[in-house]
Amino acid sequence: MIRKLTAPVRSGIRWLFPTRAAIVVFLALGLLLPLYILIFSTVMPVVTYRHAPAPADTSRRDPANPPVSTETSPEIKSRIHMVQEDELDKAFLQNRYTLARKDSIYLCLNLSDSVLTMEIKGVVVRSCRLADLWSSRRLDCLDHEQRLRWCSTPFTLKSSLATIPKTRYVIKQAPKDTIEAALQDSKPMPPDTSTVFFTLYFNRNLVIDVEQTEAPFDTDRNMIRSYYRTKNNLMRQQALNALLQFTAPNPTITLHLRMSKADALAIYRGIPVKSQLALTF
Amino acid sequence: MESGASPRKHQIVRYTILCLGGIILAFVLSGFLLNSSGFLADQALRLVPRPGDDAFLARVPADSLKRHKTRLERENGLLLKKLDSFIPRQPYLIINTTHNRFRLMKYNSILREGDCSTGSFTILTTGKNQKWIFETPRGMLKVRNKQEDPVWVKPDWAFIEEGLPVPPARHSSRYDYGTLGDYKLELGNGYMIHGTLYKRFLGMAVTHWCVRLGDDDLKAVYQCLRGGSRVYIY
Repeated sequence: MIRKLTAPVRSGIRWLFPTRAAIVVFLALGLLLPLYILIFSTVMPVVTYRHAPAPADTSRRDPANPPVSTETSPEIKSRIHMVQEDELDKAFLQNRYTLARKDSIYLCLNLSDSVLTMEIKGVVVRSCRLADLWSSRRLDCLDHEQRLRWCSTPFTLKSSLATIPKTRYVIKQAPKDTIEAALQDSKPMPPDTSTVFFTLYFNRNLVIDVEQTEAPFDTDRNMIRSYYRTKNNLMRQQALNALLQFTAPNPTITLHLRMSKADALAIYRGIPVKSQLALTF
Repeated sequence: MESGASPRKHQIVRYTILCLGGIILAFVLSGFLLNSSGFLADQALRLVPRPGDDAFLARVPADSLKRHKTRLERENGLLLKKLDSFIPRQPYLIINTTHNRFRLMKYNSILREGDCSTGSFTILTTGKNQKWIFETPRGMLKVRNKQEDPVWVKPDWAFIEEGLPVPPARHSSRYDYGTLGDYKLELGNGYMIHGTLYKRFLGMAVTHWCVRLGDDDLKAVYQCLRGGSRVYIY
């Protein structure tokens, strides 16, 4: 009997990756795309991030009075801070004035006072105290000049997403006669008790997430899951569209607000489809 | 002698599994990264140093801060005055159609508040392509006219809704006494604030677009508001 010499039988991982080339092929296929996504969506925004550049014009600078370094003068720093607050206030008031001259319902969000107000023609019709408020880190990276430019004009609402319908219409077919009219259900619509979560997408990359402070009902869990699923799908779609064009996804600044259910419901139902918002810090 | 087909087959299977596995891994990781790209990008910004005030100081030199602040305070004061001029000095009414509540205001003080009824958001349709949407309009309206002991001139939809034939324009059945309560305030375009026989429905969205108030509330509103008074509805 002649024993034939054959290659040793490999099993498991060693069978799958017999050579280095196989490992390279597997890793290349498996990691190239995720690496591309990671670089464009996470690394590039950080690497390419630039604060507002100082104007190059130095002719106004007086050589006898060089610019004071902010690191060495706390008094100047506090004065700078006060002036910056005044500038932001001015931009906010100017926006409120612009919006008050229009006929539409609009919102005013004051992050420092944690208040969201709904106004019509300059009159506050609803004032909502925010129970909780936090913002995405991107907001902290903006310097004063960038913030001022960003908030210099009102934001316009582009679209929204919510766990509740914008309006609860009921379609009623006119009865043919009084007998049919008597049989029709004439009970008024009960008040809407659904959980209120909504997201408002404004221009200039502003996104406002609003949640009610009250714990959601167990019966609303599916609705909430569907809301988050749709929100994540939207975000994923936007990121994918940007990556397909070899650009980093648009950096959104998200503000998360929590308020009472009544306030959230009134705000969402009250604002028109293309509402505007004045924002201050 | 064994043929070379078997090892070759093994190789094809191996590389097919490798490619498929790599692609699956790519999709799984990509899906995870796409889902969390916003969060990861946000966290990665921790590495960006906090901004300074160089750009601000280049625009507003330190020696002109005081002058700049004075000018800003003056401008902000003017803007606040302008905004304050929008608030009516006469009593005005705010209607909340979401919760069916009203507030009678004078400047920034609440004179009275309570329940009301607003539009039911019903769309009444007929077989003849006629449609009415019973929704209270939003925005700012003004009181055009006030009337005591008003008579309701019933429009066509009031008959259609009941399954009744629509009578001619000046037919006596169009005139309903008492339904609108003791007072009526017209807001234009057929919108009104009036009383109601159905007090148990106050606080609910049941009307055809008007605003209904209880008797005492209606009297107070009627006495406070005058022609030109503003009504803000949201």
